Amino acid sequence: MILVSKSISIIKMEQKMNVSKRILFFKSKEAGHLLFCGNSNSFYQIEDELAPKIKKMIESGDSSELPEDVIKEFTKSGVLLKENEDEFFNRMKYISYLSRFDNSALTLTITPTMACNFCCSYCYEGNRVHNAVMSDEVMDAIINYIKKKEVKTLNLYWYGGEPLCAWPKILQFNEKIKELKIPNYTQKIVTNGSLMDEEKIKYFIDNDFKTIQITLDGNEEVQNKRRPMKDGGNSYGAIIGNLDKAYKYCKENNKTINIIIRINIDQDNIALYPELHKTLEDRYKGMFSIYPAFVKNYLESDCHANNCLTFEKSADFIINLSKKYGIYTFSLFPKQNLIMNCPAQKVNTYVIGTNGDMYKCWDDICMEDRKLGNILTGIKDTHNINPLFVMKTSAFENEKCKNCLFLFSCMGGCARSRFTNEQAKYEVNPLCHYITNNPQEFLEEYYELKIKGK
Amino acid sequence: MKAIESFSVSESFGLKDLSLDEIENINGGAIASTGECVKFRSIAIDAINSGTLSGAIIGPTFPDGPVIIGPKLPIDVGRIDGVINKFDRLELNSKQW
Repeated sequence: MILVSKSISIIKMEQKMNVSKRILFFKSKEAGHLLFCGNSNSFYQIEDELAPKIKKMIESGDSSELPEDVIKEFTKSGVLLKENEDEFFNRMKYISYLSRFDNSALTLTITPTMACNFCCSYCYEGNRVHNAVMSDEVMDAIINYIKKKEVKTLNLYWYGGEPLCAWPKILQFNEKIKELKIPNYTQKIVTNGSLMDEEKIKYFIDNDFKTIQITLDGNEEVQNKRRPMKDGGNSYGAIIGNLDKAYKYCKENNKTINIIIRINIDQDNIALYPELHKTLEDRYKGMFSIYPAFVKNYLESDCHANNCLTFEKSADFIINLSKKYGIYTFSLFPKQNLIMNCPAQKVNTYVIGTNGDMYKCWDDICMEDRKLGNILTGIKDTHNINPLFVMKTSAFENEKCKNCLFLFSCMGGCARSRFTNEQAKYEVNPLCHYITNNPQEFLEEYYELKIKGK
Repeated sequence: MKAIESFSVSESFGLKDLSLDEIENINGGAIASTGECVKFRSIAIDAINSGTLSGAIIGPTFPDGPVIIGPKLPIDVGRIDGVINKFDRLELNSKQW
C-alpha cells in the first residue's frame, strides 16, 4: 500500500505544469518585483533572489527551479496550469456557456411602474417615462410565467421608473409569489430612496432583500440640481432622511440591511465625490456600501453625452481616489472573477415593462426595436435580441478579450454597450476594466493601499 | 514571496474551497470527483431532486468535512456568490457525512 501511494505521489510530482500567459511580472518603483495572475487575481511581491527564477519560468516555461512552496501556491492560483492555456480557456468558456443556457434559474427585472417622482438631468428613460402602473392582468401573467417555468431559483429585481411609487404592487406580487414556494427566491431593488419609509425598510429586512441600491449624486445643492423632485421637494433631504432611518432601525434592532449607495459621476460632480464618500462613510460608520459609477452615454435619448467622462479620465479618477484619499473602489483591483459580465447574457433573463413588454436589458425598456415580446402574448424575439446578448456579446468570441490579462474579471464589459459600440462603429461607452488603462500603475497603487495601509 | 492577494482559481470565481479541477459537472449540480466526495454524491442528488437546492457543488474541505454549497450559478452580475449561506438551509453537518 505504501509503495503504491509513493508511486502515485512521484507521478504527480513529475506532471508537466504549464506557465499561464495571463500573468504580469514587472519591477515596480517602490515595491520591487510584483506578479499578478488574471486566472485568479492573485498578486505577489517577489524577493530579488527569486525574481530571476520567475523570469526564467516565464521565458522558458521551466518551473523546476522554483521552491516547492512557490510551485504549490502558483498551482493553486493558476500561474501554473495542469492543462495548457487553450484547454483552460475552453474549460472556462464551457462553464460560462453552461450557465448561460441554464434553465433551473430565472432572473426577472420587473418595472411595476414607469412613473417617477424625480426628473434627473441624465435619465436615459427620458420621454419613455409614463405614469402607468402594472395591471393585475400583467402581474398575473408574470406569476403564471414563473409557475410554468418550474424554476428552483428566482432572482427578482424591482426597477422603474421609481418602483416605490407602486409599492402596493410589490406587496401584492410577493404575496402571490410566496404561494409558489420557490426554494430559492431573492429580491433586489433599485430605488431613488426618497419614498423608503420605516415600513419599507422593515419589509426589505424581513423579506431578505439582497440589495437596496440608492443613488445620491452630491451634496444638497448638487443633488437637488441634478436630481430634482418633480414637486420641487428636497431630494437630498428625503434620501438622507431615509438612510438615517435605515441606519437607526438597524442599530436599534440589531439588524442588517444591504444598502448600496451609488454615486453617479460625470464632469459636473466629479470633484465632489471624495468629500461625499467620506461624509457618508462617517455618517453611517461603514454600514452601507458606497461606490462611484460613471454616467453612460445613451445615444438613443441622451442630451448629457458631453458631460460623460472618457475612459482615461475615469481611470485617473479611480487611481487618484486611492492615491489622494485612500479610497478603494473595486475598479482599482479586481478581486473577483466572473462567469459572465451581466445576467442579460443568460437565456433565462428578462426585463418586464409596465405593460408586459419583455426586454433583455433594463436600459432598453420601452424601445420597440429591443423588444422580445410581451408576457401576455409570448416571446417572439423577431429582432434576435436573445442571441445578440447571449452569444454575440461574449468576451470568449472577441480576439482582444481572449488575450487580455483581465478577461475573467471583466468578461468583456457591459453587453449592451458592446452592442451599441458595434452599431455606432466607435466607442460610445468604454468596455474594458479601468485597470487596463495602466495595469502596472494600478497594481502598484493597490500594493501601496494594501500593504502600507494608506 | 509575499502574497498580497492569494486566491485559488475556484475561489476567484466564487467557488470557495473547491478546486475547479475537481468539478465533474456544473450543470444541474456540480460534483467534485475526488474519492471522498463520491460517497456523498447521493446526498447532493437527493437535495437537488427534492428541490431543496437548485444545484449543488460539493467541495471536500470546508470547514472540517465535505460541504454542499449553492446556489450553483450567478444570480446578479454573473458572480457565483453567497454560496456558503445556503449551507444552513440544508441542515447538514459533519455528523451526517
